[in-house]
Amino acid sequence: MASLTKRIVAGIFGILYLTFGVTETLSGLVPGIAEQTAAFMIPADIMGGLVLCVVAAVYLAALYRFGTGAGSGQAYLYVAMALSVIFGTVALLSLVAQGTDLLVFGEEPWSPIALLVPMVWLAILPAAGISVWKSRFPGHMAGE
Amino acid sequence: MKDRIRIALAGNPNVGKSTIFNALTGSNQHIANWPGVTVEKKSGTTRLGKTEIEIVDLPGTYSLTAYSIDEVVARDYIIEEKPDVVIHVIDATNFERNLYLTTQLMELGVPLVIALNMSDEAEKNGTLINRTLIKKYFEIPAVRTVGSKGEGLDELLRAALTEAETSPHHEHAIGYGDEIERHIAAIVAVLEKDPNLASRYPPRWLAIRLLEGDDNAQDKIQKSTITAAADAILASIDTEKTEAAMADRRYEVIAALLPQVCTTCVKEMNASDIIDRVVTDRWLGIPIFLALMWAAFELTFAVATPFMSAIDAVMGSCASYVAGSGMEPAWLASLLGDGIIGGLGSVLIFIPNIFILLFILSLLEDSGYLARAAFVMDRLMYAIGLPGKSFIPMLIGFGCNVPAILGTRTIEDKNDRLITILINPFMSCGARLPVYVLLAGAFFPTNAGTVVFVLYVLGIAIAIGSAYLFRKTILPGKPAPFLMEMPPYRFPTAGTAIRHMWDRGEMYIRKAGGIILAGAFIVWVLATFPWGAEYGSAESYAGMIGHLLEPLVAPLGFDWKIAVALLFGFIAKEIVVGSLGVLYGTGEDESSLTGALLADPSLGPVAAFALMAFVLLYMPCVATLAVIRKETGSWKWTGFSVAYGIIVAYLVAFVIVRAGPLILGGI
Ligand SMILES: Nc1nc2c(ncn2[C@@H]2O[C@H](COP(=O)(O)OP(=O)(O)O)[C@@H](O)[C@H]2O)c(=O)[nH]1
Repeated sequence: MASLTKRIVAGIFGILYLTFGVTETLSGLVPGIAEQTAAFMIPADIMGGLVLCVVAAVYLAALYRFGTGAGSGQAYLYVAMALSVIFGTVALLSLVAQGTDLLVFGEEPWSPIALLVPMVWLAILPAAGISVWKSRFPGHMAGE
Repeated sequence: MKDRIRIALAGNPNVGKSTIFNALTGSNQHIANWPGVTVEKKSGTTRLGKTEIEIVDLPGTYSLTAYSIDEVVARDYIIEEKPDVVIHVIDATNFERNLYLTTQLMELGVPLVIALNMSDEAEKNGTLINRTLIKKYFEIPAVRTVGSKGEGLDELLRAALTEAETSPHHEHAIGYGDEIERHIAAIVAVLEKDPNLASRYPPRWLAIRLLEGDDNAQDKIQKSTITAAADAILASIDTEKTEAAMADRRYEVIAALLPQVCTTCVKEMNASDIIDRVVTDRWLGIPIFLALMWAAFELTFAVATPFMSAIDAVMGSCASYVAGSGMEPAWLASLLGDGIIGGLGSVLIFIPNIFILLFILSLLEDSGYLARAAFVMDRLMYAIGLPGKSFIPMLIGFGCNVPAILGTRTIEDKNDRLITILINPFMSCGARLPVYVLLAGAFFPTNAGTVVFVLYVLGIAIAIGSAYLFRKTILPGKPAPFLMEMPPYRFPTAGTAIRHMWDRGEMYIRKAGGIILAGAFIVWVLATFPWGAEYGSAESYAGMIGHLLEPLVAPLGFDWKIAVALLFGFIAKEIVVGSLGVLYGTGEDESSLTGALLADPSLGPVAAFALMAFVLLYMPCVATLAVIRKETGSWKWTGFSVAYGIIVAYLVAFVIVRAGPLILGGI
């Protein structure tokens, strides 16, 4: 049954990352969309959006490998979750730095709400998942 | 098709080498002794299509050190007789143990083909070896054979023939880590001074053997013009320790690659194998790498911003203190305020960017990831005629070209290194970003991000095109072998990363600092004198030079103000922004400068884009030129870099100005 959980995780996160990735990219490319997506705290950021799409691709590759029995599905899921955490941390640190700059040197107001972009909050569950699965994960890889 | 090729069969004992040899040559065999020794030499012939193939069966050996007569015979044949291809017969049921010989054969610089023999037995045991991945990781084609049944032998010959006819060959070899690689490079440099030796033996191989204390290799360099020089280097090295360290590196690479090409060869995939499986994925490897690089730059620029604001604030208050102090004489106040403080500011402002980027790259390197990324990028780099190693300097170039060019020191081959240095200025460094931000923000308010992105891509495209061009024309040759290094992953420690960061960053301060300061002083002189002219106005020397240059840049739609700004940008490219501020009389305030730029009838979106492209390409800044001079040791190449940059920038800007209105017309 553990494998079913993993499939669901891979599927859901693949789709979430893809959705937000495509939306961010489109918001950056098509000016009209940005105004709509800003309300949902989705930044108009082409590169950031593409990065979300890359993470999505790794989750979906995991799902595909679980599904077709091509093997290594768990490896892909594990790395996808690690990437979630890495990019989440990077986005969080960048936003905190930006906030510091605005608060100390800037004229515009800044509130911690700005931290809640998809790249950050999407990383929360994978971070928890990695810490739970960390000890168990590699053991399952043999002979795949 | 060649008429005649020579193939040697190498392999461990009992892998089925004789069986394959007999099956291939049938009764066309000839048995003799190897010259001077009592080891039996078997050779024979066969044909494939129109090609006559001579096959030599080398003695079976576990390695190619000089510990047994068999090993010496086998390797001397390969080195001295230079067969067109060596077929490495591997016992697929014992894959891992056979790979040690593979790593040694790879060092000999001959085209290799692997015969995965005993595949019937291996498959019965459930061993699965991925031949596509062997090709990917080792750059060696592998063929499935069953010698005892004659299966796969035609395919084996065909693969060998193809390899014999492929030229140039892309080689992979074991990388031994910075310290040993430095020794190797030093010895190679000495060996290459004796053309006799260098043409007879592959210099890298000979250097490695000497470092491992190989007596037979020592004999080879006796009676050469460089014996004393080589011995002098070797005397300072503990060859016994080095030999052990080098063997460790070989095993390390084998251990990292084995689970990738043969999942069933390992009892259990460890965490490192799992990560490698994904980060070197055929499709996802490069996107993951690019995404991580995006993260590195995002983090760099974001975290550096508050530091840069702080430096800016401090320098600003220093400048206004000087301005308000009523210091006499006035020129001294101007020198201090505009010249020295301004100049110091332009050195300091980049320190946060450079140091943070170097810190992050050190983290990535220490974690072991960059070694994998080099693998991922190797094919791509090879396709444009560069060694896999040059991608790290290219990356650092996005931060600053100075540490990037210093980073090319790890590239041994002179032409490889020169090409990497010459294309580096096209990687859009951080100093160019303020110019893009200003101009793209002003003229492309809704698409600024996309425009900046296009400029980065333009820089990369020009770099790739130039590398290709240089390789085909002025700097021919083939890229040096890709050095495989697969250190185990580990959690990087901040301490080590800071030390690495400091080693590289300090060079920026030392090398670039003084030069930028001197440059800023020159700008100040040109903008201030003749005394009495308004700072940077048309009456100053700078303005006069601008008017002189105006006819040259007029075809690009630039006027004298832009000519002056570009001239000053030579000191450091971000100075273009400040200079425009001075020239348009708005100072550093960006919103009023934006207004002034938009109001200038000679500037439109097309001209602004051409200007950004020009700033990207036109020439390395003075600090970069200083390191180019230092690292190439040649004024000729330094001058070439300037001239090439200006010509490319001019052509690109010209095309944009002419073709731009057709494309950008609507915007
Ligand atoms: N099952 C199997 N046996 C093989 C194969 N190739 C060779 N052999 C057997 O392996 C043994 C050793 O082969 P030989 O050619 O003498 O090995 P060499 O020492 O490498 O020359 C012989 O008994 C061969 O019949 C193969 O592909 N499959």
